[in-house]
Amino acid sequence: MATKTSDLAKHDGNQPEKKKNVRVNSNRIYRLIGEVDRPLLIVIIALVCIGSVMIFSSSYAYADSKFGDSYYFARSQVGFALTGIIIMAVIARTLDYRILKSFAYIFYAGALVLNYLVPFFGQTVKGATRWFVIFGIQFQPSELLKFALVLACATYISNHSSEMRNFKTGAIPILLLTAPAALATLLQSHLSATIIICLLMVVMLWLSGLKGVYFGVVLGSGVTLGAFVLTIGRGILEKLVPHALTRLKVWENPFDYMSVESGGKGWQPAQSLFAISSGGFWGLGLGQSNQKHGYLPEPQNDYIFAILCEELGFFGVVCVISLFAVLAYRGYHVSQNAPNRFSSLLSMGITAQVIIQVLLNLAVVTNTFPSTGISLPFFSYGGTSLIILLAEMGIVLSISRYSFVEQG
Amino acid sequence: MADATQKNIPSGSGRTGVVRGRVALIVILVFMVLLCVRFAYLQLIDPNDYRTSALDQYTSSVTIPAKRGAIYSNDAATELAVSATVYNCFISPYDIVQFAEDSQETSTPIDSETLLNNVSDGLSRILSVDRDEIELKGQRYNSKYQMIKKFLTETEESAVRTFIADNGYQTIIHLEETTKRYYRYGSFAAHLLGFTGSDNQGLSGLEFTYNEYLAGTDGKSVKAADAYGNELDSGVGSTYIAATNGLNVVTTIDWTVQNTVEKYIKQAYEEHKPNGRVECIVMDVNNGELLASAIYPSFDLNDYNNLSEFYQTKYDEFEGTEDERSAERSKLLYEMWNNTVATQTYEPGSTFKIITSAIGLEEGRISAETSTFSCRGAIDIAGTTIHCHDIGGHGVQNFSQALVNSCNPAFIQIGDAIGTSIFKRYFDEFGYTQTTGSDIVGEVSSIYFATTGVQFETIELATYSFGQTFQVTPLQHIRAVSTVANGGNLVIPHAVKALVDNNGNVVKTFDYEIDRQVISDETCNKILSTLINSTKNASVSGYNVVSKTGTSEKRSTLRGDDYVSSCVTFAPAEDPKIAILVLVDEPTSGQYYGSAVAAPVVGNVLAEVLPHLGITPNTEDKTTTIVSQYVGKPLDTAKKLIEDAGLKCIVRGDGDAVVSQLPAKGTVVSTDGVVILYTEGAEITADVRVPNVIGNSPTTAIKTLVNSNLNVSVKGIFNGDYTNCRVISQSVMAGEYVLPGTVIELEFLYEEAIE
Repeated sequence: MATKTSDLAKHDGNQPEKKKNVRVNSNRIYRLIGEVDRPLLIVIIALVCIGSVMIFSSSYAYADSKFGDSYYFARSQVGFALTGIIIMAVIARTLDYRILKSFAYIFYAGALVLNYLVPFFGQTVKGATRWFVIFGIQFQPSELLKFALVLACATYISNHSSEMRNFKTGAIPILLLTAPAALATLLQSHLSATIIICLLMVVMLWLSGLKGVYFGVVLGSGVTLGAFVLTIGRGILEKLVPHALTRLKVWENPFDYMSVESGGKGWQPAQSLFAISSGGFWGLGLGQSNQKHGYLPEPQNDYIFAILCEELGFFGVVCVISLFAVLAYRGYHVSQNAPNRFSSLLSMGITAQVIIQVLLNLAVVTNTFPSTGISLPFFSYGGTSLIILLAEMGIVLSISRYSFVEQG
Repeated sequence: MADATQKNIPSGSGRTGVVRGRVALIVILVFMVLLCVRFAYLQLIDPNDYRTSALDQYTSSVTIPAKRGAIYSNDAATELAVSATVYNCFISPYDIVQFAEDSQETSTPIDSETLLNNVSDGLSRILSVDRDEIELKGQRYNSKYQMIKKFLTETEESAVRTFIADNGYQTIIHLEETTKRYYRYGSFAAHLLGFTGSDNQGLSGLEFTYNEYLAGTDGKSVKAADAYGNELDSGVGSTYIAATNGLNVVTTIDWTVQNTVEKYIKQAYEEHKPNGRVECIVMDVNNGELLASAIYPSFDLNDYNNLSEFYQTKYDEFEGTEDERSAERSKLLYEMWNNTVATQTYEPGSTFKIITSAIGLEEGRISAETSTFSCRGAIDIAGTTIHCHDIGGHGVQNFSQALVNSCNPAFIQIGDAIGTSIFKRYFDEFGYTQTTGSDIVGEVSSIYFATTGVQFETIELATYSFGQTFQVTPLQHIRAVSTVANGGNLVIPHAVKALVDNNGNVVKTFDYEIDRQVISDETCNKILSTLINSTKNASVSGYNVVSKTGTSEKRSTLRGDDYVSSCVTFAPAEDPKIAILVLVDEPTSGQYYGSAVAAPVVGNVLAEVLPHLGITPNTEDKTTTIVSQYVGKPLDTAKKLIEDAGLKCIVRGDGDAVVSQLPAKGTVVSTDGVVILYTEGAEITADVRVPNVIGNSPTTAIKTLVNSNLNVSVKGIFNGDYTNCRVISQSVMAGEYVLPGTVIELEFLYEEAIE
């Protein structure tokens, strides 16, 4: 880790003389605007770099066969990554997170509208309508919605922090706030987004300071509902989201569904397992995957990590997971040292959003969790989602600049 | 905004927030660790199943067929069966559609129907396959493999290659390498060699018995390809295992002996038109190697799945429903392939008297010198009258006379002297109760008292003594009687002696131990000396051979007068090298005595085979002369030379110098032959009318021909013995006109009414 000479966000920071700017917020507290959290920045840059390399490695065979251009995906992704990093840098350097709070509900409402419009105006890919195409660029509004929800929750909780302990004044408003978002994604048949949104809500409720008993009730009823749907209530699930049941069956034994006759849904998870196991400890070497040569479909998308497993082995897997762990830790760290409740909740919420996606994606590629179409942050191909992700990272970095020191 | 900040002093998250944030982080890290465990499980602990599945889908394996070993004759030089690389032609209807689709974007679009038409027309023309059949197969558009024709000839193969190249049909028409078995001499030793199916598996005969050596091991080539069919750079899983070609089998079959045998059994078949087959085995008496094993009618190994002419005729005569006809065809095929020298039993008849004699002498129950046996033409055994073939009776005979006369009553007396228990013991000792242990496939067991369940009592002992009422295979029998020829040892007949690789190195030899010694040398010599040249039709001038004929009644047929005529001979008598057994099953020519039907085959075969085997004759043949060169010599000199050679000289023309002669120089003629000399002006015309000499005695026949200015070559006369024999065939038919001096070949048969 780099030494943090200028990182005054550390709560035990004892070099106030190096601060660039000090605003006095109260009699005892000095609010410092310093450098961004450097470890976090390094981890983000590292993940973007590794992600870009893996995009090229995983996609070139597929790109060559489909477009006759091995660099088809890599070129575009690197372009988006550079754009994203610039955006992230600008946000990190210039954004005053407090502005976000003023726009939080309007932003959330706007994101909801976009999401409810998708089924009518969106582009349909593989039977799912989840994308808008603006100037030839695909854009998935649900990406925006997740962030908007975190922002809205953070705003509500920070504005009503004293009421958050109670069920009625704490849990109910957050549930009501989340419900339209969950519904919007359900209408898009975007189950993975629904799951992430629900999990985000749980995280926000947990952080809100809701009394443990009430949190237990919410979490317990969620888990009960999930268990019911997966077991006794399969018939209901089949009626509501028909493809979800198929996914469950495929998850139970993907190898039975590999053939075209059986629907072929098991092909991708099965090939993912083949790729992962082929890697062994050291992997076949960067670029040496066999599975990406037409066996694992669209290897640059949701299942990109399987190719990483095959090429870099268990060693590479542990390295990348460790990077995400550091990201989680620094996100937590920023949150713990955030200047106020809002920024603390926002930074932890964004971190949670990224990590939840990472955990779910890794669970999907290992067939630990049914295939749901969750992309891997920093790795999976997708320009707008990468830019949104980096912009969110910019917000966390920006918050990291605001810190405090306690005057003796 | 500022208010909110102030509410949360000292930290943005508050005390509860700190704890909850920490808990959230811990939960996240726990999940990450759990995922690492999951990855460790998939990648390190139990990765093999998935790895194998992954490998399987990259790799495709192509079998490299092993080349089947050849089968050689006993000198390891003559190829009897070989495998050659040939091609099958198949089409991929799936690619016809693909081809048509792809062509739509080119300047010469073609629809799949037209394309199929072109392909069908072309292949039908080149391969002579029914056009509609190709079209029908071509319409199976989901298939990538529709066989059009197997085993293309070289011409067909190159024509198909040209057709593919000319039209760019590389994806549609394919040639696939395969091997085909060729039998160099078609029906040569067909029953013994057997044949091989299209999958390179020996199905019968030696091809079956030695399949494990001949077949070799197929190799394989494994290549890794991506999902689009291109080779994977990583080369994962690619392997190449070369095929191990099969070993070559060296048989014990002597090409010349087998050929000679086949020639004469065919002749005997045509002469005696038996209901059954003519079979012949020639065996090395000392080690059991089969020099020849032949059956007539035979079949072509290159066309084993079709009935040969003989069986086709039988099939054509068969009337029945479609199913019955099909069943009949299968039955006839099995019959045609059946190597009956090992798979069919017969009653050996009088040839078995060799065995009865051997037992009696070995056990001292009879004496070759002092025992006598009386024959009144019939003998009464336990209430059954058994006749001798000489109804008048042979009177009192010593052992030698009894054996040469082949007297049944005498042998019943010998059997009686031996007794049932000793007889039974020897019956077993001589190998009649087991299969021989040979390498011939499908050997059946004999049919005798133990298998039929009858008691072996006086009457059985009596009939067994002269070789009737039990059945053995020819192979069992030649093995048993050969003990007499080799000093008493029971050998194991076999047809293969070694395996050699393609460089000619011997990889394995098959050594057959002598099973056991059954009788003593002394016993053997007594029998050999008794039977020496006893059957003149089976004997060869200049050699001494030991023969015993047999004419056994067939109890299996309803007709009362069906016989198996057989003859077994050992040669040379002084130190037997080979045994030959000939049997003719149910001759219909009117002659049925073994001495008249089977023995001449033996005689003819031995006459050619003994010199081939390097067995030198005892006496020089003085019955023939080789005609020298007389042309160009003065007439008087030539005349004198001819007369000095013991030949008659006839001069045509009135010149002084010989300008032409008949027969030509080098022709072999009998010592009382004739040479015609032509001087200037004499005309050479075919003006000699051939007289009929069939049925004549040798003296009369030769005189008649020589008087007509013809030369004679005799066959079947043993050591110049002219008694009791008649001409049975002449090489040029009576009434034809030939050149003077032409050699007419006469075949003689001794009338030996033994049995």
